Amino acid sequence: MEQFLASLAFIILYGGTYGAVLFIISVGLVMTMGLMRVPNLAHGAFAALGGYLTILLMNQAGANYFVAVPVAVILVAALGALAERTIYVRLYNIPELDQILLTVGIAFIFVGGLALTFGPNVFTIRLPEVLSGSVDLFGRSFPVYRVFLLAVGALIILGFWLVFDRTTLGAKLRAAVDNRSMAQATGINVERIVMLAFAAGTGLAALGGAIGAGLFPLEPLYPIKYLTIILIIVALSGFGNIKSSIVVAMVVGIADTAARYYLPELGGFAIYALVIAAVAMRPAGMFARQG
Amino acid sequence: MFELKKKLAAFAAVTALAVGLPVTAGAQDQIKVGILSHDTGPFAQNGQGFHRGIEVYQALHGKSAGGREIEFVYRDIGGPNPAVGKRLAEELIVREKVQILGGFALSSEALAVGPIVEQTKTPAITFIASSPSVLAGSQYFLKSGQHIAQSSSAGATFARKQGAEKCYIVVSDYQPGYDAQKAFRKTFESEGGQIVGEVRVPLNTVDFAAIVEGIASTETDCINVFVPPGAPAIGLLRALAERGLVESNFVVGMGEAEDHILPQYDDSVVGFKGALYYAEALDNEENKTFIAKLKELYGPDTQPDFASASAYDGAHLIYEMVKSQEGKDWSGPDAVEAVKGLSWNGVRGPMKIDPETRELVQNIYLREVQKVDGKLQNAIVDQLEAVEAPSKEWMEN
Repeated sequence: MEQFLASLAFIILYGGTYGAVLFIISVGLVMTMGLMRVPNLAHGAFAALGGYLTILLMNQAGANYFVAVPVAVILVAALGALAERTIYVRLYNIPELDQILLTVGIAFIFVGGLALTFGPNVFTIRLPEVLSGSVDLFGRSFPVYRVFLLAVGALIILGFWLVFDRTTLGAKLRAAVDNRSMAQATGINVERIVMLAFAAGTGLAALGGAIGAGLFPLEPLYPIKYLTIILIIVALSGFGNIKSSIVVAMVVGIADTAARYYLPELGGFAIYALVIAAVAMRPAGMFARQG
Repeated sequence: MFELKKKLAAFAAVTALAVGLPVTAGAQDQIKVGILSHDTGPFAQNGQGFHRGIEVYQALHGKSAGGREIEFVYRDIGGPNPAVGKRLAEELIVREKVQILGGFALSSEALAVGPIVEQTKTPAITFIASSPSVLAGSQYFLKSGQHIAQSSSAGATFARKQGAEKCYIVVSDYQPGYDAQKAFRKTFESEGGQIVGEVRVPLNTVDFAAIVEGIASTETDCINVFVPPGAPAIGLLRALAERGLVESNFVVGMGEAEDHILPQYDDSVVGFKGALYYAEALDNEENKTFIAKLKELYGPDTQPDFASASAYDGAHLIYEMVKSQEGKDWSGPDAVEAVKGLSWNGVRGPMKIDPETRELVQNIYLREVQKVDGKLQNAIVDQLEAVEAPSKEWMEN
């Protein structure tokens, strides 16, 4: 029994952290898919860039971890805004296949660029002292790093909830996702909202890439390698459904961890079984309104 | 009639070309060596090692041997893609007219190229590919790497020597993983140890926390790991260290924590052991010369690894084959025959080609990650001498 409780605590905390990082990385794509209807397959590249910029800032500029991460996030968000205005804005009215080709091309450019700049090896971000120890929770020790990830995930979720449900910007954003032309007709500057949402989405991906490097190791293939799992979150959430993406990311994180723990040899595939079942039964998203 | 003759002659020339028979008679003054490398993709680290090992060898030993100039031609497979490897091998032999092949980071590539090597009688040297079945692919295959069981079994022997009783095995879910797992289990059990758990982890695993949690709930004093270098290795070792298992267990792998990878780990990797045929810290003349030249050519921070060491020793083997044909018309089969039984001092220490099996007989070193003067490095803590590759029957039963 004690063994069972210990393993349960493990699955919830580790699966929860996995889910939290998945949410932070994917939510930007969920949002922009809803707003722009562009399957941005280069989304993972922004996450990788966040991680690599953090490394650069720490190693080359000697920045502290807690300074390097926000600076990297802001830089990537700015780059995201720029990319939206210059590249993505051209994609809104072209066929889907062209959108896919172009964004996957961007992802490959990032893969090549990262390999050229940083070499083919995996890079790890050195955690500061405060994050490298462990704490006692539920009668066993857990790494502080995991607790930190959970805390950041909770903060982001709280922030989303506040912005979405409690601010005018949130209301405009929701309006734009639900019915773009109607929102435009009521005088909402949808273009600006789209740019802000894209910047926020890429910035969050960068945050996930930077703090989640302990779970998703940084390597040049990052943008392609983790695209599947990001797209799984997007597909299960439904376009633009941010609240459900929180739950989806947690379910995926915990289910994946549980499967790897109890059935290590099949564990890697359990998540795909979940996806197939979920998409077959609820094609609009796991928690989408039916009808 | 004349027309037909012409056609036949053309046909003969084409077939001769296609099967790589020497079209021009007489001793050529150049030997071309085709290297199947990985310059991009997930195995680019190995490809870099291939280039460096060969270039260092050429810088030290010149660009000719046995009266012939030796030229290396590289091709990039760019990922785990045996079909591309096969196509590139054909191109190298037919169009570039290489007389020797080398490289092969993955066993799957060597297996795919095997039939071409056999048909065209082209000697081929696998630098890393270490599956037991590689040499069976063609009688013209030789190795400058290892048979995977040499290191795996040695890991088990080292663990028993250190008093390990209960071992858990973690391998990646692919053929080399199964081979490593089998060799370790067999040796560990036959030397009186007990395997308390085994797990095959899907190759796409990045977060190993759940796997490690499963190991931590078992009573062990030894953990054997075999996962590809790069993200999987770093993920697994960090998860083991995070859970305190590197400290409390005899954790032994192969090339997961080579010197050049160590900057990617923090101090929790201290104590991790790797059993392998090469060690950066080897104190022999060849290795010292090799490392000095490597640093001279690529900068003082450059570190050797098993890929560059294998390429260097492989280049030596290629030079020996070319030397054996001095003054004669080039013959691939004769060159292979000539180096069977050859023994020499490589950067890894004494090595010999077993004339029966064509496998290498070589030392296996136990390396341990230690912190010396604030820097992580591998030290050699034990070694097994003249380790032979196990027989096919041993691997199968």
